[in-house]
Amino acid sequence: MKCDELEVLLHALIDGELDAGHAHDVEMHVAGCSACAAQLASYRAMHGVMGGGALKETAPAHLRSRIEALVAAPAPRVVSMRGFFKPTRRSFFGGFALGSALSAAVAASLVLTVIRRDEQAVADEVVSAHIRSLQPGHLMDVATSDQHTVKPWFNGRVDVAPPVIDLTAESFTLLGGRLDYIDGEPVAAIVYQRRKHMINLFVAQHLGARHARTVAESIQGYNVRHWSQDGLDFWVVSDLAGDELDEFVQKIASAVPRSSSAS
Amino acid sequence: MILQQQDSATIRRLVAELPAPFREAIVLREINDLSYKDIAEVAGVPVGTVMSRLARARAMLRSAWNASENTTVRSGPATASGTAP
Repeated sequence: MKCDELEVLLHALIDGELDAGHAHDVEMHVAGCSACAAQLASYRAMHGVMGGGALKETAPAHLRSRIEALVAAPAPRVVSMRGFFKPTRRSFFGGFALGSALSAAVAASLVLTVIRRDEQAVADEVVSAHIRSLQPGHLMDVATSDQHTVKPWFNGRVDVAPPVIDLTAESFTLLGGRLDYIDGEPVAAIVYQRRKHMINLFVAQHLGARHARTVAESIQGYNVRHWSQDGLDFWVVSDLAGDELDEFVQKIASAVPRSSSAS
Repeated sequence: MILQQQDSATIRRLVAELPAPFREAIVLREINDLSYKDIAEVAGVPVGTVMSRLARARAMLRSAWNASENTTVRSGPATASGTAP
């Protein structure tokens, strides 16, 4: 891991947002790199000062302007400042609920936005996960082209038994599997390769793909496909050409064993 | 104490001077203790953007802080005893 790659992760470590694996990677790097160790120490100190109350008096104005911008209408006197301003998430959202039609409308519009973004947020995250997986050493936790090794490897690691399908005969080589995190949840990532192109197939129970029909999009130059099948959500990300990726999706979709509870 | 109050006032001023997206990220994170995911929802951007904004915001704060400390040390009252002219 290079120092400039690490910088963003340093903050995630301070904020307690890294999973154990990445936290370990960062700590290993910091242990052997005095420059990054100094960075981490100085950011930690700053985090301590700010978390210790240094910012509390200024925040309402910022937050209020932010929330006003969200509603696109000035909302003074609706919610007491005190309600806005306790440093917990609950009271932050609780602030919206302080009885008034307008604040209820704010809350409703916020929820709506959040739900609508869900699919897009997952799309962005699977692309990030795909890019991350291409970093040296990140592609696979279990590297084997044997589907009967990959599938049981996921037992106990994710709460679904992802279908692992050997498509070597169709020139999609099964490379292995990996545990990844999307939206804070563990998901199974199954890695395939065609020529020089890596394909990540992410499978989990609730991963924002609500349609049985395959949805195609392109994000940051990567082709993304997602669909829902047999109670599982599937996301495919690759730099492979769109039509070849469609072929892959079609092979996977037709090979996924159907259970009696298929929807 | 006094030093801490000065620190707090300086930090508040520096945060207020940050460009809006960075200020928003740092305020939601440090004051409201929101998770990256929640900040992403409130700000309407992907989590990756939240991460890079926080990193950038803290880097900006740190360099502004260092700059302000240097000027304070030079123009502020001498703190060590025996340095009075």
